Amino acid sequence: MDALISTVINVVIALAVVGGLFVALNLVTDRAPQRWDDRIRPWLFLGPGLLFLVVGLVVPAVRTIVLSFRGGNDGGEGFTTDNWTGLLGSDTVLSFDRAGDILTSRLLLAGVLLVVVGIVAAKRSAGPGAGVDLRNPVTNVALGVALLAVLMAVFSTLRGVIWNNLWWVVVVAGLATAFGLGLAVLADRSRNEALAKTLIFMPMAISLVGAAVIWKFIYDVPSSAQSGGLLNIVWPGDNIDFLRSGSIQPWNNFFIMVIMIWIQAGFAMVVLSAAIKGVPTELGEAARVDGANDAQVFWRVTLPQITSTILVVITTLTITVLKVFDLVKATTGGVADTDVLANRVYDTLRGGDFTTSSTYAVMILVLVLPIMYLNIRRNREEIR
Amino acid sequence: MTTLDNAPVTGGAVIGPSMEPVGQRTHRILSRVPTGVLWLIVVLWTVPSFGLLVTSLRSEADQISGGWWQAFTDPSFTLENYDKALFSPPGGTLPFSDSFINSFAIAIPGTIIPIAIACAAAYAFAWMDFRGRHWLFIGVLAMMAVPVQMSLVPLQQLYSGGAHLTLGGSTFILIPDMDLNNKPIAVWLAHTAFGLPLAIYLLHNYIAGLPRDVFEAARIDGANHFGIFWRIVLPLAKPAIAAFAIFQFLWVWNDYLISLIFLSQNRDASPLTIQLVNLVTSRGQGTELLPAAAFISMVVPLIIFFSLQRYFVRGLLAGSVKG
Repeated sequence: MDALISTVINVVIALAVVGGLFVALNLVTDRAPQRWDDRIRPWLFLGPGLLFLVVGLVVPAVRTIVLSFRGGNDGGEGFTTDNWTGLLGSDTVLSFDRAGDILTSRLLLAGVLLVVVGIVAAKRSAGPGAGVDLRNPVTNVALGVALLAVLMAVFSTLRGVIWNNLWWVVVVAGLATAFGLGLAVLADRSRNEALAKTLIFMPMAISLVGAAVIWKFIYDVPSSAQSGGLLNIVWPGDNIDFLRSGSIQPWNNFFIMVIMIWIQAGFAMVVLSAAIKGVPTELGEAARVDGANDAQVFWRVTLPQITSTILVVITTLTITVLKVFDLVKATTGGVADTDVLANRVYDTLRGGDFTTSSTYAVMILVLVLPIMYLNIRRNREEIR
Repeated sequence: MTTLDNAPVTGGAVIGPSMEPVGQRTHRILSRVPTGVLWLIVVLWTVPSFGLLVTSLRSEADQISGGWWQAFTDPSFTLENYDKALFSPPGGTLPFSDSFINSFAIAIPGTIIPIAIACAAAYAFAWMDFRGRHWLFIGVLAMMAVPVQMSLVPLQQLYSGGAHLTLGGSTFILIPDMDLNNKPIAVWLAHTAFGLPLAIYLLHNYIAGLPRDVFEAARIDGANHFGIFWRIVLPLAKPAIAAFAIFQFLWVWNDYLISLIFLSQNRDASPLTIQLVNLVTSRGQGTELLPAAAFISMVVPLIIFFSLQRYFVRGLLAGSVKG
């Protein structure tokens, strides 16, 4: 009953705010003299929005940056760079201890082999004595997978929350986009396309917390209270706690990332599918008349046409993944080598250490900045 | 399998009128591979959710004795878990019927207020001339990517202590201490601010694309700016408003972090996501209720998703492809 009353009150407040806003706009634009009106009117329409943006985003962002350079838990102790030097020097945040192990990593070896395969394919595709042709399917796939493998080698070896965040970006943005593109191509022109896409897209609608519960029942170890998850049933070896087990660290991170890929592949699929359908069919038909097969049409006509959309998907996913919090909190809570920056922001804030929390938050911002720059540059052309 | 094994022999020897050539048959089989792969992935994608749904309908004893797949050989289902989760969950957990309503208390204001404010701002950005319009809009774009983590500490301090400005020894109160922490309003005010950049951006793109003639015709008829906004812009922008509304509602409904920061100390006002995680981390107690509780938290998003998918996809595309 209390919950219901509180809901009604909140909704009434909201409606009153909206109604008041519109009535106020109406009154002022009606009564004000014309000359005065032209100057001030834009600011009346913008006012409420700017107020929220300034109070809720701009001032807090500046304050958070300032707090990251101040001493004491609540920032009361004056300027210092200790937060930054302390955290960046910490092994749990940014460790280079095992950098040497990267060279002996099997993933690195696989990456190097794939680069060789890619170069050989590029040579052969260009024909004898014609240099290299980098735009053939084998080279593209080999170099793409090689890049992923090398980055995985780096980020699974170097540990610390910043490396972990970057690992998340590479795996989730890379694989969700690749899956999404593959699914968009598979679904295109197939029967019951809409149904297939709806089912793959569905995880986008539910909360990350709900997704964590769904996958808990895939990864669970059998216990007195539960009968073990599906993955442990089909897993050939002993039962493993896929989220926490010491024996698979740091690859337990990968099993949390899988949940995010499960959610975001649908997003990538829907966006890329729309882009593929937006490619003029005449282009493909013209290529077919010239003797190109389906694969060639895809790699040489469709793919170049949707490159910008692929980049948009990757940047959108990168921003989402850099902020990842709910999934980690609801699965492991950050233990067992799975911590990420956003979880540190929360944990230190809850612990009352506002300056450390702010420093972690600014670290996320710094990682987001390149993406922000790209987004603005892309949009400025549109505004003009 | 037999047809495949026989194919080389019969197909190679005699090609009767009813027999298709081997090459064609292989091609026909191969051409079905993409569809087969697609549906295999669809099944893989759906199994986790489906398994949880089946588990939620099985009694505690059944859940302990075996996985959900045993429901196929030994079907016995019950709504007991839903009943318990909704009305009498174990130990300190708020009944999910209450947190279900609490989620609406946050999500409804957290959706309509940003939309109203963003519509007005988007109209100004799109159809009014003022100094600094270009740079202000770039500022809004930049804020779309700023992580919410940048606002958490200052907003929490603002809610519990207000904002003060000290100039030359005297302190001015800019925003009084309103003691908002741990009230739903703290959460939806934050969601309003965080949702605005995307809302302004999406609605601006749509409103800026409306034909100029419509506005001029209305002005000739004597409509003032608010009249145009109210009678022409808002009705015409309905598709964009609907798309963003769905987006924002789902975002707020599914949010965990903002509620955790500003509301988690107030058990009675906490939304579904917080109660769901509480149930996950309360080891041992009420594990059998977890699948049912998860579905209670998902039912509204799923209904919205399946009934309004077209608008949802439209919002998604407008937000990422155009942008």
